[in-house]
Amino acid sequence: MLQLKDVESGYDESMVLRDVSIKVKQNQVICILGRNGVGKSTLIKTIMGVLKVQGGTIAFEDKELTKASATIRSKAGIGYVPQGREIFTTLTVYENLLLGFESNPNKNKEIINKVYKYFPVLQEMKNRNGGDLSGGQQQQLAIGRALIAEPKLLLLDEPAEGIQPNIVEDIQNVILDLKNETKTSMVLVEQDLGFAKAVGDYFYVIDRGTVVFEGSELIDEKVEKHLSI
Amino acid sequence: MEGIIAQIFNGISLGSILLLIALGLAITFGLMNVINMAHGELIMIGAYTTYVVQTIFINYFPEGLFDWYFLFAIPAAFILAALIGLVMEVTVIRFLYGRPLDSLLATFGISLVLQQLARSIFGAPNVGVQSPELLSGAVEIFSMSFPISRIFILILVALCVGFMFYYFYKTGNGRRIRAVMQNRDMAASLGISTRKVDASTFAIGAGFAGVAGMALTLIGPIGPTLGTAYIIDAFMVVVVGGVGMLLGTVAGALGIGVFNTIFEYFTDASMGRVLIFVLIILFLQWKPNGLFSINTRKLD
Repeated sequence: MLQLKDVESGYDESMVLRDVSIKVKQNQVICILGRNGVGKSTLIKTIMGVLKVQGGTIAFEDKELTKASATIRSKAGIGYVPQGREIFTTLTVYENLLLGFESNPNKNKEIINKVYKYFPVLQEMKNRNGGDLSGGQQQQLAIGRALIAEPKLLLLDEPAEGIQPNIVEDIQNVILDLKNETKTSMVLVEQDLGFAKAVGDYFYVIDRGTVVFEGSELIDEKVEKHLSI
Repeated sequence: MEGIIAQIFNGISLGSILLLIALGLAITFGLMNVINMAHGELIMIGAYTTYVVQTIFINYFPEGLFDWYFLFAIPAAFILAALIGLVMEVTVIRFLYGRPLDSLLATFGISLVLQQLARSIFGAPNVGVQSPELLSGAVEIFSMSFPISRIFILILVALCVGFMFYYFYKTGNGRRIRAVMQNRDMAASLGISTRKVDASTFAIGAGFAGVAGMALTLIGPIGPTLGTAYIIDAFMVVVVGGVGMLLGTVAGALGIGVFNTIFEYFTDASMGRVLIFVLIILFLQWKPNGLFSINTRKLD
């Protein structure tokens, strides 16, 4: 459903990604692995449309989206949980969640209750400002907000980074639940190899801005030199 | 005692006028960070709109209805100023977001164009707008008289502020505006059209400038350079109040109004002006971000 062909992208003059080709199928979980600074977040931002594509093409459900803005891609059904959560700190938790409906044609408020079931703390804190939440709670909010849009494809950029272990577990359970119970496809950037192996259907390893390994199974000998520090 | 109450009323009244002229700027400058030098001219447009509505009422409506022209002038001034603001945004401002110096120059240019436009249409001399009978005169309370036009402006300001708070904090559009102003990329990634939000927000800010212009016709004559007299005050109020904070703008305007009146009471008009600027400079040394600033938990 998502296809990147020879994508090049980066910030201003400096190119970060070169010749990246990636394919995501319906109901598939793709894991993107790699060390810090090799272009994983750049890739996610390029898929979302936050960064402009400098070369190559991006297609989503047979629609050409290479030049489309983030707004249009979001409306097409791509959801985004960015690294560093990027929730709206001066809006309340509830208002943050309501913004999830912007790209969802189905405005039924029932979806919020589903999110509350995943993350009960969001219901308790619903009238507090997003900025009052702890890092882990903000991450839950960012995921909840993305789920309310009911995306066909969900981009998750290191959802467990810098978060206390019990919340990491909650988040991993939600991802597993989405994989098993819904048709949502996911692109997951993950540092936790164990979890990546547990949830991923297909893997891409990125090093120095390009794909160095891909396969439906992680072969340790092949990927080790690209992942070890 | 009566003197003090009169001074307090004068202070609040001045504050309410300051607030009215700064409300639109609190949106365009405070929220969107566009240094809009043409804000004064948007006020001027509102004032001339009122003049035109009044002239239409004099010429085409029975005399008995004349008093009600100002009820039509308020939405007319808002809509016309908002439309001109929208045209400004779409043709010029949108290319200049994040470039304060360029937008300062460009909007200054726009302000000169608008001034000349007003001169060409209405002539260089000031024109007077006749206050409606209802709003002239004064009410007597405990042997003190309060001009009705000033009270009307107070109520108008209260309504405008109330409407703005409601719009920004209780409606879906307000939510979208706040989201875009805080984090443009993330808002776009959620499917919010940032272009639409930018254009409509700027237009709303311009519309409030128009309403301010309508109110200024109750205070004095209006001319093509009406706006230049108020632009400094408007920026002063927004900066003192804290950029980006609606509540700060309200507090800033009332504070400046009251202090200005007190200083003028003890000295004279120009000395009062000097003192208020000294006070603001000192205040901004102490609180560079203004009265209210955004404080939230910073992460990572």
